[in-house]
Amino acid sequence: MIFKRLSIFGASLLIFAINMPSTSANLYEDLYEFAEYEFFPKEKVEVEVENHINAISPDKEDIPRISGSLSWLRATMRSLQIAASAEESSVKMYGSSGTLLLRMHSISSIWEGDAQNSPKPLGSSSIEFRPYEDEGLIPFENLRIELNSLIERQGEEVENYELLKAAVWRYRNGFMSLENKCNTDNSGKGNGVELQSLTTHFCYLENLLREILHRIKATLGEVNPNTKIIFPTHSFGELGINVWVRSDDVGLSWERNIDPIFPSLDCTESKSYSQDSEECVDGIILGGIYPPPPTEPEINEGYCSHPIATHGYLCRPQEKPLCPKTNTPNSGAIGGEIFLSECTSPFINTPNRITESSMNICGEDGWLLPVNSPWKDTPRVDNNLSASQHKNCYVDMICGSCPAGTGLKEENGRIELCIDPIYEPLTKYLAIRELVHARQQCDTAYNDKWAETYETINGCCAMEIQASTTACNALEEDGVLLETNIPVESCAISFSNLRCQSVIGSGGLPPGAPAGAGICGDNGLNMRAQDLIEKIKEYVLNNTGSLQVPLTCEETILHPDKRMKMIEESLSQVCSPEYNAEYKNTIGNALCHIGQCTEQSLEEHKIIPGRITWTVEDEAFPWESFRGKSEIEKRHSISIPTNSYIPPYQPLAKLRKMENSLCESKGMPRTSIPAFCNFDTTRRTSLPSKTHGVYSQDASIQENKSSGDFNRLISLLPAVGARNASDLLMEYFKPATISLKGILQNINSSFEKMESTEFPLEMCPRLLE
Amino acid sequence: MTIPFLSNRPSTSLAGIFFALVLIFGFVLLQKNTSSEYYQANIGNIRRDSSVVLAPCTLNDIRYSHLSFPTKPLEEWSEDYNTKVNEIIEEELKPTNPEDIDCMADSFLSSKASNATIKLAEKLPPWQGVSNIEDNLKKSDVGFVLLEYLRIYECALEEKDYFLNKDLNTQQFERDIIRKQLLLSRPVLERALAILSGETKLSSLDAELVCMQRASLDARNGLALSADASACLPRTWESKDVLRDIKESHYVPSAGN
Repeated sequence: MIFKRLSIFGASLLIFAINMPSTSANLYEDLYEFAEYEFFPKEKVEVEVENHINAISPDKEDIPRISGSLSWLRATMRSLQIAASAEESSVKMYGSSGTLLLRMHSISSIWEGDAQNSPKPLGSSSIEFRPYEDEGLIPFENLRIELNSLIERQGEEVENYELLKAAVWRYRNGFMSLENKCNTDNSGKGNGVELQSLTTHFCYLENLLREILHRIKATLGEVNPNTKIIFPTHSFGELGINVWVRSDDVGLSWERNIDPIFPSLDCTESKSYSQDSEECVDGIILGGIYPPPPTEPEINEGYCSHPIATHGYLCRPQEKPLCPKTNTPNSGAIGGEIFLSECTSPFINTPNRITESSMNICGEDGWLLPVNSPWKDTPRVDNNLSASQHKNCYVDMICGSCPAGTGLKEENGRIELCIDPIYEPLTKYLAIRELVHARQQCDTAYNDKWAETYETINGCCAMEIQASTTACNALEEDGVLLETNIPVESCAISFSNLRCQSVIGSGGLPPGAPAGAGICGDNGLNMRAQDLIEKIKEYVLNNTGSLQVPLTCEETILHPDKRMKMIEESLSQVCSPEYNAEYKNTIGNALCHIGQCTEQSLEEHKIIPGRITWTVEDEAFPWESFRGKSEIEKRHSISIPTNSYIPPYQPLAKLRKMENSLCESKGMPRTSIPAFCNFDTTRRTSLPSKTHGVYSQDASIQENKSSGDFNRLISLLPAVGARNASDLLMEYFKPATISLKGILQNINSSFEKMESTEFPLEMCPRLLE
Repeated sequence: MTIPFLSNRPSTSLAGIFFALVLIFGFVLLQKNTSSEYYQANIGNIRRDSSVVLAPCTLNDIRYSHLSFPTKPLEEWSEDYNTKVNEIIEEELKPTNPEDIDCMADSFLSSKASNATIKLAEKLPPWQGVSNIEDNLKKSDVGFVLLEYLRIYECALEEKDYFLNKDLNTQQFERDIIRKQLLLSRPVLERALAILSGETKLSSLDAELVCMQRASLDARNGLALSADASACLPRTWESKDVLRDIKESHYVPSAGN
């Protein structure tokens, strides 16, 4: 009988030891006392045992036998508990501060960027630590008094801790998970069977725990329902009991758990509200009817096939992270290993990331807090939206009749995101996915080859897996994937398969491919992508209240999720002047900022110099001041138009013109070689006059006639030349003075800038008030 | 012929003997030190001269004079022993204050033992006269100290029991005390040490994490400053632009327009 009893309780206490950390006020004193009970049972009998013996047998002859049996059982249970506690005390779960797991979480929260999926120690819930706003308002003192009142005192020195022990073990996992409501008439009383301590309610204690939770919740404010907030553990030092407080539950724990719950011996009305069980005879629990001992598993049946070992922490199914179950449990066995659990990752056929040269360094989730861009989007086409000076694009989300998905970037930077209402109420998650697509092409040039890349299998899958992973992370954060038992990777692959197969087609899949396979990969769940999404959709549809998801596409856009706003905000070029970048102070986010600023520097500036500038504040690349509207580009002074030139002098043309004039003045046609236009001295000879007087007179003035025109021309030439030169000068000066004016204006503005420059008091402030 | 002792030229043979002696002594010393260090490394930081580690199982030894057993009556032994052990266990169970972890130390894996442990160890033969015991005795040595204390306690009880007059009923009371203590003290201490080691076995990992946490915070502070400074990067690359605030109204539309 005792062996059977021990087996059952051995199993229970092992489970307790795994789940529960606890302590008593003074370890060595407790251990010493336990040893006294164990080694000197006749001299030192526990109160409960003594009462039991007195109740069941007035015959003194039975006392040594009963006392010995019970003492042996209790000593053995304590030994097992101490051994388990010694082994397991390091493996503490949440509930007390300073454990390794929480420290790891603290470190990861320092490192994580919002752009990545951080590990979450409590399943898919994210956790936060907060101090009490006012610890004085929490009724810890009342709780301490109530716990103290559970110690049964008989006389001055004799104390019975059974009720107190039962209460602490009872609420070790909190009170919220208890199924039955507390009946105050039965408070502190069991149901009259040997295991009654495991199910006893302590109503006053429960009410106090409930009140603590109520007070805590009143100070919480708005909290994501999937976020667990852990408050500092309160310690009742002299009792060796702690109270752990979370935003969703409150419970008790031992400082050191060395004393287990023993089988109950008393079922009188003071201890039990029911005396109906077969075990309870005249207020005494005789011991229950126990099942046969568990059969030992056969060789090679597996370590975890033992009924008791199955409950051990090594054999419990792996809770987190979720991973698809492999079809062949021992697939990786070499020989001799004990396989406790095995995970396989979903298989991705294609690259899971393709980077574009102009893509931002933190390209998936949003990492900037939405403080700059008020959300103005509506479910219709919004013509009043435009890209801000900090962004290279803007998104316009639309519900309904449009080709579902993300459109290409338009010339004015608009990117249309079309959400298909067919996916309601998953539209929030689809919107997150499409926003990631918008980020992928936001900083690319208009008419870039983004679409070309997207239409290849590798390109489509890589871009879709990124976007779908973000959406699936959101589903996981909201607890949807945990409840539907779907890993993030499987979810992302399924969404990617569906989308890319609709774009590219599903050609190339082998005929015998698993149900979960697609062109991007296999989700590992042997479940069709459509079925997987339907499963998620069904869960969300049944839990819209607790998940706080918008039911319609319109509602999704009009009341966007914080993550949607963050991704939209993260479209910004954070290093732009006058941009107010706000983000959670983590290493990941700081790196995002540094990376983005470096990226912007490289993209916007010419590290290799171009040509040398001509004038003051001239720009090396004059087209840039006209190209865009970024502050960097505006900062350049517009270059001076350099259209002044040296007018052509053309002396030969001028000479010819002069010669032509000479011919014209002679009444002769324009000919080259103007000598032909000269006066022909043989003309008088060939045409003699009637009289010699006229002839000789003509002959004598022939020379004058010939040279007169020349002389006039010669006298005229300087004036003609001067006029020509003046024309040349004027022709040169007219544009040159415009340039000079520009130069003078730029000089003037430079001086003005120098005069009005406000030197910063801080190093390189980004913002101007 | 030159008389070596009077010669001012060193004698080759004497120098050889001298060097040989130096070498031999040096080797012996080296061996002694090496074995001492090896010994020390294996049983906890006890003492460098390995002559006495475990004193005889008797109270009649001058090395036990610092303990209460030889001088006090038997009735007080139990309280003395258990109070002392309790005090040490409680001290050692106190969690290490993260502020006391020296992350820049060569090794922070074994933190120092508590004052109560050091105080007791100084009275026990293996650690008597050990210099700088505060630095040498680690938290992981607590078991050695307490088990040695238990061994001396048991020896004292056994010896006391041996010399009790078995025929005298008046000494039955003392015999009962001895029997009880011999039965209880070892299992209680072993269980206490099991719990203690369970709680402290991951303390070095915890210390590592504390240091990693501090390093992460330092990295975060450094990177936060770098992130602030990186806001200047686009201006830094713009070589024509000085590192100053420029209001938009200062961007003067240039000539030619």
